[in-house]
Amino acid sequence: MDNHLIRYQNQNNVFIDLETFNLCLSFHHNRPWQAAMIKTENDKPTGKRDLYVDWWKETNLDISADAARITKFNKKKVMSKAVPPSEAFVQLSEWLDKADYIIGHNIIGFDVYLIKEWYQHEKKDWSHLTEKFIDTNCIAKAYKMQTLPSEGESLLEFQYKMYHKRVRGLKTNQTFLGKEFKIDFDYDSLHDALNDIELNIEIWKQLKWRIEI
Amino acid sequence: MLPFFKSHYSIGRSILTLEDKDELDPNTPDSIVAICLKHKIKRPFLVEDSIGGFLEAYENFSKHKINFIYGLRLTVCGDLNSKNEESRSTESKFIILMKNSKGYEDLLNLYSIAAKDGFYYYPRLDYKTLEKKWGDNLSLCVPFYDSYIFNNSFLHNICCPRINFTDATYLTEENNLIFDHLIKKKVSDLVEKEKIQKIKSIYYYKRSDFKAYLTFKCINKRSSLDKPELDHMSSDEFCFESWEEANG
Repeated sequence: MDNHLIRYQNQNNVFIDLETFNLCLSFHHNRPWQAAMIKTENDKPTGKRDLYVDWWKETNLDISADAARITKFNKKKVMSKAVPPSEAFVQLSEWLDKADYIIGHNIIGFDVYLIKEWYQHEKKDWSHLTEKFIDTNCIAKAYKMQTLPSEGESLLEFQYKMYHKRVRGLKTNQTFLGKEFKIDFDYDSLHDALNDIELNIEIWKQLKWRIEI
Repeated sequence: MLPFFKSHYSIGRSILTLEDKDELDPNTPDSIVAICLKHKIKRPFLVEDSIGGFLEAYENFSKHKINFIYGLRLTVCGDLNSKNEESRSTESKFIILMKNSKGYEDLLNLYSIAAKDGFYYYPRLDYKTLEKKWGDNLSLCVPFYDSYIFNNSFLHNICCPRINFTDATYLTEENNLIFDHLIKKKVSDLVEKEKIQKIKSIYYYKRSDFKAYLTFKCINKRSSLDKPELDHMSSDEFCFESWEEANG
């Protein structure tokens, strides 16, 4: 009867997190230097890609001091693993294009725009991705506010509604959710894209049983 | 697709000016007048958030015999006397266009009420006032963003538009934003095709001006390019270049 709920669907999802030069949403001033993804089949990890991207050859943009500090950015390490943007994009889009859902924390407030920008940069259509995004931050807000999508409301529309809702004292960051859901995790390792995703998979596993979407 | 320009008189919303210029100079801000002259735009729309720039627009467009259509994008709420947070959730934007010179008086009248009686953070009207003061010299449009459709769908607003007193035109746009297709569908589900008009909001001249535009927005917001804190600010399509491409 509840087969329409995401929790009961067989899914091939991609969990994603981007680390970027700064918090701007446009390629005019920003680029993702790391794109980490974990592919799952019914929430069981089946593959991992940790892409480091060398933008420095094609743009003068560089990481901001704040972003470098928060993400513990090490240019030497990044450059030793970095691939050209177009090569990274092939690997990124291969997974995103085939995914049933693309899941991230605060993905519709941030990552979505840079993914879109990257597709445009490579002159590829991104419109098929729009209905795939699931933002665990928005879903967590909905769960805490006991709000459900209304009839006929698309998941993206519902999530944007939750995204725009500012409630004082409502905590939905990954660390808080992880601890609230009693997820055993090394919380000091956050802000490394791949670690963030691993925690987010566990958060999603908890969330999807707590709210009927 | 109609070009809907906005000038810097709409504070923080555009980097285009209304200066009297014959040519576009890469070292100074771009003027809507110069853009219209260069690209032979005979009937541009100028839709502002405040009425301050009307005189300059009128003088400079008239000088070059450009027959512009002027409008104001105003906030309309449930009750303009109700000045609290709850009343803000009833707010949405409407565009009021002047059809003729008499329309200027009517628009000025409405703007005065909005700025004097309805002011709460910004000028506001309500549906009752709008209907009472409405006349044949004005034309009502529902914008694509920040409309009651947008606010009811993407914010937690409860806007109940009471606009039966006139035939409103619903404006649609395509700016490469992630939710554009959703708004477009909502508009086409709600109103007949004949009431829908495609437009392009123009805040800067070329896509390459986006960074200058973003910088200007950040200055107004007292934020920075590295942390703009401007929701959805990712599209460089709000420019004349994009309109021109779409119109061949």
